[in-house]
Amino acid sequence: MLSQKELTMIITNAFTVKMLLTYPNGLIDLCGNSAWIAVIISTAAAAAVFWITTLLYVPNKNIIGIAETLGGSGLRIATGVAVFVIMALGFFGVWRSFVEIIRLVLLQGTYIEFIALLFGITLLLGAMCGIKAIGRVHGIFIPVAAISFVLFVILAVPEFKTLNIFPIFGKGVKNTFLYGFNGLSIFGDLLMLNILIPYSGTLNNYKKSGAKSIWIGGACAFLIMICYNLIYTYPASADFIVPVYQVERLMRFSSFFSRFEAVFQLIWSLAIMLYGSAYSYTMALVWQSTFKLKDIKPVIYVTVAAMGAAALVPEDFELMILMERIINKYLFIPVLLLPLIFGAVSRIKAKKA
Amino acid sequence: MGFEIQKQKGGILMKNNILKKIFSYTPETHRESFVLNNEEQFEFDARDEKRTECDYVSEKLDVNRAYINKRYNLPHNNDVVIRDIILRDDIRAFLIFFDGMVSTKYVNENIIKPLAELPFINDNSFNDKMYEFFTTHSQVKDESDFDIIAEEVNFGCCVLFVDGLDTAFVFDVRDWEHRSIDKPENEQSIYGPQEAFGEMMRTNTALVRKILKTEKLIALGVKVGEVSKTRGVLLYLSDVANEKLVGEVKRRLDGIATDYILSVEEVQMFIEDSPMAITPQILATERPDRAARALTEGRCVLILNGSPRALVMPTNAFELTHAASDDYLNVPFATMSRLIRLTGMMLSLLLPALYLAVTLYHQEIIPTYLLYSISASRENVPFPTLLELLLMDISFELIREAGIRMPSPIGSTLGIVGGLILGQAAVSAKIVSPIMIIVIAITGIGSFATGDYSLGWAYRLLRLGFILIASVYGFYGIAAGIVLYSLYLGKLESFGVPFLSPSIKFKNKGMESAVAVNRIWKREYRPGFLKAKKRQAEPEISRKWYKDDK
Repeated sequence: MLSQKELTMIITNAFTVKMLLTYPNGLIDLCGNSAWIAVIISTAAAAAVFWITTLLYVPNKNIIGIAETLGGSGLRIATGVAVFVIMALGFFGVWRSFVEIIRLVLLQGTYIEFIALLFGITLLLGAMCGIKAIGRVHGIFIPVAAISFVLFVILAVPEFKTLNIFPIFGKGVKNTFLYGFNGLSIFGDLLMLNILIPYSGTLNNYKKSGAKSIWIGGACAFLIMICYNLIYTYPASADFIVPVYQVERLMRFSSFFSRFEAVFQLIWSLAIMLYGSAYSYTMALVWQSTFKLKDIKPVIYVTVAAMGAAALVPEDFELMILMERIINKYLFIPVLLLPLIFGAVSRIKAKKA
Repeated sequence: MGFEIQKQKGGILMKNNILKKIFSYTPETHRESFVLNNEEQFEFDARDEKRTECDYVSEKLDVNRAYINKRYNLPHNNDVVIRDIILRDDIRAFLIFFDGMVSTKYVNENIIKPLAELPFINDNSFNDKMYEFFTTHSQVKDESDFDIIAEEVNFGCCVLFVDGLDTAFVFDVRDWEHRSIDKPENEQSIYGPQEAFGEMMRTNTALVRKILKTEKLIALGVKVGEVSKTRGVLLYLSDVANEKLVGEVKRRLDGIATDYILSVEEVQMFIEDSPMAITPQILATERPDRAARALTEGRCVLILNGSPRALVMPTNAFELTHAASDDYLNVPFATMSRLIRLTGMMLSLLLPALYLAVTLYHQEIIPTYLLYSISASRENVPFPTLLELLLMDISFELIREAGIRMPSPIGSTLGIVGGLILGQAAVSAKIVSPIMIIVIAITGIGSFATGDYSLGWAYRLLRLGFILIASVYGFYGIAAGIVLYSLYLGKLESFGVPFLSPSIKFKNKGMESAVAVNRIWKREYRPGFLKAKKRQAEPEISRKWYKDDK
């Protein structure tokens, strides 16, 4: 079983690591200087949707379990496959973005396949260790990462230019308050939390972990976005694919250490690898519970290999980003709605019974 | 004349034999092995569970004598002593013991002398409790099972067989040469007790009992090894330790199926959850005070006869980094000491890999002047950094390994050879750069700061892995290595307790403290992961005077 703290750490990490990749750039493109407002709106919206979900959700089962109760094996398999596809669509972009960023920041001139290979091996072996081990390591690592994050924000402060944030509504009110909901894609891993319900012990743990993760993750996303908006103004800010890296490049830590991005990248890499391990395990768990397989390890092999191959399919990074943006535009809808619908239907059915 | 002919004949014969040997074919004769594969050679096998009447003491002394002769391979067995005694009324008896394992004084004064000078033997006294009448030794028991008798004899007891009695008398007269109580060698501390465990089991248990003066301290007798039956005691506090934990430790100890167990380290390998793991999951300590403290927290401690270290179960990854001195220092000093130690350990694990990653891939984080300096120092070195690093690291390991096995008087010479000649000469010969010597030196010093000796082994192995992965992937590889090692630790368990517990707690009111040392008056609860019977160790206000003052 995962403790509430461990589960919160896993999900918070899942929300936050996306902000270290290309997600902020997508929001900047949509909202301009008001991307930070979009993050606040998205966080509030995610919290609201999750709150409604928790009100409706009764059984201590994930949606695959509920699907089986509602419609037998057929619905279980259909739901399981749908969840797997949704999770896969959300993950292969993260995989490719991460290895591209590693090549950009740390290993210029190295083949992307070679970098992806180590990432794949790490995820494979990490997922093999099981969700309990992943949870324990999250419990220890995330506070360390939080300290690094605070340092990151503090070191960014000298570069802030207040005027950069204006106009306050960026590309317009409509863009901010309507397209800004695209920021909900950050919280796509609420589906992962739902899949992990059987490991959370009680439904109360699920509810508390989800709520805490949304607020902590939202706060981190807001801090990253406001830092970026205060340092780079639109439209210059839209030129950089990896905003966090651009902020890191400007940081100075005394006159002795001049460039710090590699150190931050080391810590972010740890966070993303842990996230990847948890995500790979969860995907394999979906497959295992969908088809009621005895052993999860062979599924982990297949899942990681498939995700690695899929991540390398797009010919270049730009195409990858384009695909990722299209997916993110619509993916958060089923991610947030699936638990809501299944929770509501199971509740109605339980009342009728 | 005849002699000369014989000599000539002999010479011809010899020549013929040599020629035959060289040129003629002689089939190879099969030679019997000296070690015969004959099962009947074994007269007695302790592993054989079949019991017969012969395995019990007979009323006839001759039968018992014959059994003993057979079982102990007499008269081949040189150090077995059989001492015949004639008691009053011509009652025959004999004593058996191992020479060198018993106190001759006790045997002579307390057993043989009273028996030889028996004033009377009557029906009341001639029975299986006759030792109550005649012998003056304190620890005696009657026994009729030959297996137990042999076990006691093998463990230094003296056994008396008396004609007409189907019981033997076992006298605990163990007294063999052993090391006296010494100072700890691997867990030194300026503060706190300066005693270390020795090889004598009872001395060791007494050392712990001396610290924990409570009848709740249970010393459960255990025997490991089907033939050796090496004795040990499992210590725990009956009012604190979780019974399931005690049961699990006992179950694993009972489940050891091997002929001979000689040391506690062997037991460790047998009972660990993951014996192939590079990190030990049981804490081995040579300090009685550390063992006692572990007992107060609700852990179990195994002491084995012949081993100067005790096993503390369960443990976790953080406790392996702690030192005995942490408990005797004020909180700020202890925390500082622990942080320095952790830094040293991290440096010993990661510094070479980080140096390699920075110099090969991430030069931008090195300040410009330092970069010039490193570059200048490496200017004339012909080898790539990886090779240079491996060369020095392996040399250092070689010096360390040789240092352990060298006689101590030559140790200082090794230091001079290793430190001065190898280091200085390697730099002068431009085989390695001076900065590499610094990196290796810091790594070496860091490794000596490692709290647990066996953890040092793990770090040495891991360091090599980190060096190799950093040489290929830089920081990215190091990150992958850290994640995998952390997850691997996260997967491990020590007697059902997660090896990575407890995680960092900011408001810690328990004894557990991963990095910072918790204040002694704030250790209100025993470690939660031990699930102790009695969770609370002290009241919330343990400094009552402080409350009174207010």
